[in-house]
Amino acid sequence: MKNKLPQIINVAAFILVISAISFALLFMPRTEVSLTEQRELEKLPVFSWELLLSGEFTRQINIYFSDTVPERDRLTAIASFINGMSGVSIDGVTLHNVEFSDKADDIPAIELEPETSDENPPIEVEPEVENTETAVIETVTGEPPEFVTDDSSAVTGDSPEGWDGVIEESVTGDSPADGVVDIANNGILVYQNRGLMLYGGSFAMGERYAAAVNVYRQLLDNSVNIYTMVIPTAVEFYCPGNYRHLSGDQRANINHIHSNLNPGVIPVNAYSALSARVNEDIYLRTDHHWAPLGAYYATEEFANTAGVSFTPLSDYERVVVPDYVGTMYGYSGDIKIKNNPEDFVYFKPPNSYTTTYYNYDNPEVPIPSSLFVSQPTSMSYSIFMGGDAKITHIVTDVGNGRKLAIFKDSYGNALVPFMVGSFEEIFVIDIRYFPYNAPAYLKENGITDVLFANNIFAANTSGMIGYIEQLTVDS
Amino acid sequence: MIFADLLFIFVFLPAVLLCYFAFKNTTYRNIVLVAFSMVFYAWGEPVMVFLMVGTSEVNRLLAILVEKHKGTKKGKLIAIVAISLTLATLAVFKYGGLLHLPFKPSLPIGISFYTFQIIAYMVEVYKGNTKAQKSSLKFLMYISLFPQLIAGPIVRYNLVEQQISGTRPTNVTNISYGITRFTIGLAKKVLLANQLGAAARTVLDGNVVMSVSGAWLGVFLFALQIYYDFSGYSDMAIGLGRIFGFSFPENFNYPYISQSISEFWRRWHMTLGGFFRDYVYIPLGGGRRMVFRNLLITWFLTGLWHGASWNFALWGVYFGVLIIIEKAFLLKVTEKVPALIKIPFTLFFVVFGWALFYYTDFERMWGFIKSLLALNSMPLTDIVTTNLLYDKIAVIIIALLFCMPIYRYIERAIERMRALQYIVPVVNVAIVFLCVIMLVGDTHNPFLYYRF
Repeated sequence: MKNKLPQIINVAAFILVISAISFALLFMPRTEVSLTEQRELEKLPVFSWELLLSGEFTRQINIYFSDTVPERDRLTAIASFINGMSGVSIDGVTLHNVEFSDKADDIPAIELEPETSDENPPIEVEPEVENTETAVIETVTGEPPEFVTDDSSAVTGDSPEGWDGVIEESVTGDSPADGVVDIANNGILVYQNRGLMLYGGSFAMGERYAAAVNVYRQLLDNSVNIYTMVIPTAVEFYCPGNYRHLSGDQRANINHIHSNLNPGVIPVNAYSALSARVNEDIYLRTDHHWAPLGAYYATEEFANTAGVSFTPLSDYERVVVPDYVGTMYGYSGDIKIKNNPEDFVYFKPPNSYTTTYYNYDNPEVPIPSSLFVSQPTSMSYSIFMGGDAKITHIVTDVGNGRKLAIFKDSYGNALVPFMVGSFEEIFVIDIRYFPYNAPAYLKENGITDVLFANNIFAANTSGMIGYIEQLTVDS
Repeated sequence: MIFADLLFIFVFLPAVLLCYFAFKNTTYRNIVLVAFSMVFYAWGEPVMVFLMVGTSEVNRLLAILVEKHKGTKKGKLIAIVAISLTLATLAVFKYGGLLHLPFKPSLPIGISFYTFQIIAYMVEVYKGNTKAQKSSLKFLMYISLFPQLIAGPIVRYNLVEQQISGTRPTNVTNISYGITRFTIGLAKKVLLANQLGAAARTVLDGNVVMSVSGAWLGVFLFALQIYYDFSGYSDMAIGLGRIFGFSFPENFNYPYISQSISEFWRRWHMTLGGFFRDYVYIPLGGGRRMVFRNLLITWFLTGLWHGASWNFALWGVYFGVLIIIEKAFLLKVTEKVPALIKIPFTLFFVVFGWALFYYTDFERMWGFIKSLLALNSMPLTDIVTTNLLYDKIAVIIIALLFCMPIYRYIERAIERMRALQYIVPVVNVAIVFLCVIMLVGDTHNPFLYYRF
């Protein structure tokens, strides 16, 4: 018996550990929402014979069981910590899901210098050295510009090969499944505790985006001003030079979109406004969104373009949410991001206004509400109107007769507080959820100004452009 | 259901262990094993479970007939019919698409393994080496036993006949060994293969035009992944089997330290190699006549067994040709070359072979091979390769170390030093905790051999 003691202990220890974990998994309360990943976790499938026989029912039970583990966020944080120990980072850069590919193809970029018209001047920023090199190579070879990239996802809307994750454009938990799209990303790069989603769009998609917006020029009365603001993302400004080739050239793509706009559609040059202030906190480090401060500068540019008054930042009430960790931790699983939270700073407008929501599941019913809706710290970006799945109607004391409709993705949300001092009425419409025919809706509400405000990823993602195209179709 | 899954480890496994050890009677224990094996299989294949049960029962009955008519033409005919039926089942369900059959059923999990076990059984009954199993329950248990049902090892009937027909030893030595073996397999899969696989995919699944070192790093990561994935699964299968008193054969024996391709295949997926040797290569004539033809056919079929795609056949023929070259002259020529040279030389061809294995699309495969061979005018290295290598360096070093037989030394040390034996439970518990953490949030990581 004594000889068997280590074996008995081995068996006993195994039984004990398995029993304890089984008990915890089966009887402790299951996690329903992951705050760090900012998503609702899987639900138990509803039984049907069809589902069972297809094998889906049991598959979904497995997914539910591992997805909703008690204390999930704590455990995933430990897993991230362990993963962080699997090696060392060089140049202070960690890559997540970055595929090995010749991304030069994804940078049809600078060398093409898209044809521009006087109405739509190109963004004037000094080209970066890396991209210029690409340009030289391409020019020498004399190859025709490639508008379609290797990244078939950019064309089809499917996720790139090897990228298993589906990234929600919306940071709120209330987006319906059809609001979730794969976006044209090339993985995530973490540098100086900043998560950067590498951009993988294409000129072809940019053209489709421009065409989708151009349609409104034909559908709306000439008296209505139409603007488009394509918002660059953080990777464009904060990616270390020797990794820059992993991300497509957003400036070239925005230029290309602008060059494809109908002359009656006015581009808003958010790129220049942002690139001039990269030393300020214009982008969130731990989130895939920009910071409200970045939205402020972009709105200033828009106000100048639209010829409306604009309230200076000093007049706003500055609110600070400390210890904010946004989506990039959940997307990358990089513990450095979790361990280095930031301040989420937003601004409340000084003038008076009223806010009414129309939820998309019941859009006829007005819900008097507030422009700012308090959120758990990790979901701070959803402070603006509490997220995306609604139409927000704001009536202000501006009295200039200008009525603005914003068709936007979640990037556009941060613009809204800075518009309150510039327009008499504002309709905030998310392109993913709007249930009406857009031109008819705009006419009905006497809209004078329409702004399409989307981030460059959305403007290069088939699914997102599809939503804009659908807006003109009667539901 | 797969082993490296929270639902399996913490719900299914405790339930089956509890029910199994609640009985002392072997028949009841067999019933428990069959019932749970059915649940295990039906969990992933709610319809195809009937195909497995049907195939099992039909072959049990045919084997009885074969035995009854042993030595007669009738017996031979029944054996041929039985084997043809089993092969036809495999052909239809696995190679339906490849053979352009009018309907394309989805591949039932584990069909490649259980049909081979049935074929081997039938041949041995025909030859009179094995007695036909009369009991439906026992034969179904042999075929459906969940530890080895879906990814091997391919267990020959005669190896477990005693444990199936008679009683199985239940003792703490077996159970303790089984637990440790299962835990090692789990660690191989969850702590190494999953991490290596994620890294390999970032290289292999994108554009196949890449730097030379990037391509080699990718295929090297895949080589490590597939070894830890598959050998981890075999470890878990052998461990689980041992807990229930079964002794399954070993399936891997440090394949990456082989000094020749022939040796590699004596160390890699040994139960499959053994099957093809005994039931294809030797019946074809083996080394006695037309040896090169026999080798090519055997390796073509071995390759094709791995998946219903021609790249697997190419992969098999690639090894067939290499083995022919070795048999023809290379083994003799290199007899006196030191192992330190022969091992990396062999490894080069094995790792290169994984590129043929990985890409089912020939165009992508060729593009990738051009990257491997520096034919794509891409730089020798690039920043992403360097970054990835450094980012996974600890995992890669650990994985490389355990490709060498250091675990054997650890095992011997544990045997010799009693104090070390008390560390085993601590390590096992730590591994379980670590694996739980790493599995949380992971949606499924299906075993690579699942598709075979």
